[in-house]
Amino acid sequence: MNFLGIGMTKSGLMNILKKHGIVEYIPLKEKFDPNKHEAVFDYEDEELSPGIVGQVLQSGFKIGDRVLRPAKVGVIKKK
Amino acid sequence: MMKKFSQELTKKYTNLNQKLIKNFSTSLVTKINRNIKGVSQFNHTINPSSVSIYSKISRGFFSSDSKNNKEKPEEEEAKKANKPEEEKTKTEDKKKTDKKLEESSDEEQSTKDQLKELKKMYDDQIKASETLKKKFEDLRKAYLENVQETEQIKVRYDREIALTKDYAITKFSKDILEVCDNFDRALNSLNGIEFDKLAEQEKVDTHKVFLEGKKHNLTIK
Repeated sequence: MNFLGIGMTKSGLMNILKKHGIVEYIPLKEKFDPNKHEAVFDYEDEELSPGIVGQVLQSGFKIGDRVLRPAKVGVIKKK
Repeated sequence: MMKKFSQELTKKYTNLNQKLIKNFSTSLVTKINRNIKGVSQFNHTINPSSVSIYSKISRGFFSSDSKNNKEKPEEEEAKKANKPEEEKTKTEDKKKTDKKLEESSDEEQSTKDQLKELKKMYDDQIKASETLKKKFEDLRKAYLENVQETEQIKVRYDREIALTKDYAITKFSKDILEVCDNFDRALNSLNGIEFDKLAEQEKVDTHKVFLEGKKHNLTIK
């Protein structure tokens, strides 16, 4: 379709970044780590336990072992 | 640089040490040889005389003993008369031996002094060599430490170079990430729209326009 070209361009860019050691990560339902994630807000949830990333607003990026940009996430808090 | 310098230093030091040890050892050997010769000569000159002295002393004792033994069965007065004579001979012998012993003791003392001096010199040389050894050990330790440090620095720099190679594009990639975000935004904004329906709607619209145009005698070329 029409927007398939945009997706392809994006994936091509991501491949180039991967070639240079830059990887995207989406920490959905992982344990919150302040070194990797940036908590934008917190909210209550019945299914997930507290201290776990419930929503990812912006995916994070890593270059090698270092964090290039932390992911912006919403963390689940205690009731 | 450090390596070359320290190698030269160690070479110089070893050469110096060997020279010193050679000189010292040769001088010591010659001195010891001389001393040994002197001692042997001294022994040769002394031994016969000392033997004669000892023989004389022993003879005197034995003679007195034999006399005593012979006199025992005889009267006691004769004994008393003999005794002072014996004592006299003994004292004479003793005097002779003392003179000879004094002469020999002088020679011995001179040799002893020489030996003492030699010993002193030997001890001094040993001390000097020990101090040199200590210095050499210290220098070697310092050199080894330097080598280790340089190796560590080399490893560290290699690691840093590798890291800088890997992370050189950090700033640039941070800027590029914004382009990635824009792509994401574009895709998200397009996600809710149904293009098929849109296209159909467009077709219907164009058809309507076409029909309206026909009404007014308009044609599309």
